[in-house]
Amino acid sequence: MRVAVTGVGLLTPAGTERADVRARVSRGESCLSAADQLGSPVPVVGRVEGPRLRGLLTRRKDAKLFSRAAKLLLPPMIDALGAWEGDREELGLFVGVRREPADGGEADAALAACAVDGRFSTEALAGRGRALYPPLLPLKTLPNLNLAHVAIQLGIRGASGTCAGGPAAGVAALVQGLEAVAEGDCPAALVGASDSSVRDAFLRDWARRGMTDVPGEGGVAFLLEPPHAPGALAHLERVRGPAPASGPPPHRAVLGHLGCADLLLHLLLHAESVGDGPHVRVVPQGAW
Amino acid sequence: MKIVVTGMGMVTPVGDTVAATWASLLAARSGVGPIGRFDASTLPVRFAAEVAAQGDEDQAALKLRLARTALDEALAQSGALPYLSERIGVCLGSEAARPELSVIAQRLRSGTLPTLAEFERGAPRAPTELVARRLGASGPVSTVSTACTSSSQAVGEGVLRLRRCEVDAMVVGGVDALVDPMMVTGFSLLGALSTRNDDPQAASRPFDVSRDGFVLGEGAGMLVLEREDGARARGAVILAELRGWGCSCNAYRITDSPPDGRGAGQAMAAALADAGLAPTDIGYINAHGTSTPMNDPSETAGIHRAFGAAGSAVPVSSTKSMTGHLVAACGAVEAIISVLAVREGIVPPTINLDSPDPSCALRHVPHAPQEHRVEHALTNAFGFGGSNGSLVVSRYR
Repeated sequence: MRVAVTGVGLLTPAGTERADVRARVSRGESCLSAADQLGSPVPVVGRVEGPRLRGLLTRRKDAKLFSRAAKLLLPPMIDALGAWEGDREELGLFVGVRREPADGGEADAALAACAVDGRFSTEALAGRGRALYPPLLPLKTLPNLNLAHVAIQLGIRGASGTCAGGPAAGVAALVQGLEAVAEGDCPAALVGASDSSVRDAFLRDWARRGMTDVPGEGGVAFLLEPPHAPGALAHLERVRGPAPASGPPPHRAVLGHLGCADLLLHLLLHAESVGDGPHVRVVPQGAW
Repeated sequence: MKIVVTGMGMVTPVGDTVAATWASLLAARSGVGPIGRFDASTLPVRFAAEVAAQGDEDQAALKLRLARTALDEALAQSGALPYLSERIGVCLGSEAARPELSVIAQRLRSGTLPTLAEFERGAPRAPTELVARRLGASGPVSTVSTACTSSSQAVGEGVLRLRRCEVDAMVVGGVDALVDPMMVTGFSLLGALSTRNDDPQAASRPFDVSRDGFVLGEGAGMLVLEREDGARARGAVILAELRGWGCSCNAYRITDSPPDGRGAGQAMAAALADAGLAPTDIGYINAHGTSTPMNDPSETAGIHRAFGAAGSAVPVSSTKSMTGHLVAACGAVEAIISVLAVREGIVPPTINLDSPDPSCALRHVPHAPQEHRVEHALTNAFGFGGSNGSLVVSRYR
């Protein structure tokens, strides 16, 4: 099962130009910066500046509904889609998410206000807890809303799916998109993942998990089309069985770990294959 | 190649098994009532469609128990699956669950945090991993989180994996348990829940002109899927065929459904095309029918877009009028209900449908079940954010 990659997009602590990011990673040029949270359990992070969504949104007020991960996903998706001229009614869309815990700590103040004599009080929740509860929180934290924002902003209505499941979710979304295109469910599919572990509760969570990598953030996207599509940058093949063993992605030391987008970035920069079980192998074309 | 259902299990607010749930639906019995699990007297919404909790289990523990119970029932029906473990896969729809609220609140107050294990139990993938362990399945294992479409997509994913011969059996389904104070508060703030506190059993009233929101529910549904040849070779009882799957995005707004039903209609049309059926072949539509002012007319428009003239003739009901909205579990539970409708030739009703909204002009099945010979049924699931999924279930021949 094989498809062509005809567009890519990325948003990383080292920027958005693939060749530049790859060169900086190859040189081992660190893009890490100090964690800005006072008393952070993690001293340095791989942070993305911005991104500025102004000019990318169909309605400016939509920005307030974007979670950090959604903000990190839209620009690379736009770059990957490029000037694709097909029918977006049929374009597929597959997204990987890693949203555990359920929010980035935005509900902490409301929850803390609900503790009365060491117990959770619904009376307190109905009072000061409710006042502190961010009313838009459910609209930012449902796992499928990253996909929804991309669909809305880019007018995509084809086959779709959101894969959740930790760091492997990005690869799971890539496999779904690859299969959808290869089997003719859609003429092309936009596939991507984004993640952020550099703020608030995610940083604490990172420390609690005992993760040794530096936490990072970013987004990666691919446009997949049938194998004979013109302008292919590479082909991707779905292969049964686990990928050959390889070391940790080299970008983690200089950009940080991009969570569920990490393996997609690895595939885009250096890897020949990613994934366990059915894995994805890249067959470079031209200057890939 | 036919993909068939050989086992089904579910726990819903109207029954702890498939048979008990079906009996309640045919008796037009509501599972909605005052919230009993915690003191909701000060909350703006004080009712829900709960399943019975055991002891002091928290949301995460309840989800795992519901998944385990539904799985065991499905496997008891399917019988042992004589396939290599790497040829059995699992795909479930699930959302994140919080650790016990008292624990979080107390620890936030004191500046500490719940343990990692507490969060891991609530991860969307936790029920999937439990099911895979219980099955001994080492094939493809994945979790879909597309809100209310989650388990519909999980069933669709299972169908695709079987068609590709990646596996010999798939356990698919979904589980959710969102009736906790924070979720009730969150959905209330969005204005998504019915506030009919004085008459909870009348609160979920899909397609009715006086509907005012959905009723939060909880439960689980699991199906065992196989290819026809494998099921027949091992002598399994085949319950129905899963014949078609389609999905789409609305690309409209985060909270609203498009009034023209565009995305919903596209998913239904895709499912019909995948099944190789015409709209006139469908004998029953199990609607998503949430009872929100926005969803029901949008779904109605979608049915008319996809079905054309046949959209006015096909019987339509929403079993959420009795079960409440099971969110990530609703797609799988309603797929099972559709299997039963096909097998039994009975269409369950939409209760509380006293005055159909003129903007929801369909052939409703109000108040009481109706007998219909149903060769093929279509079931819809639409998620917050505009993810749509439709499945076609067919009588097995």
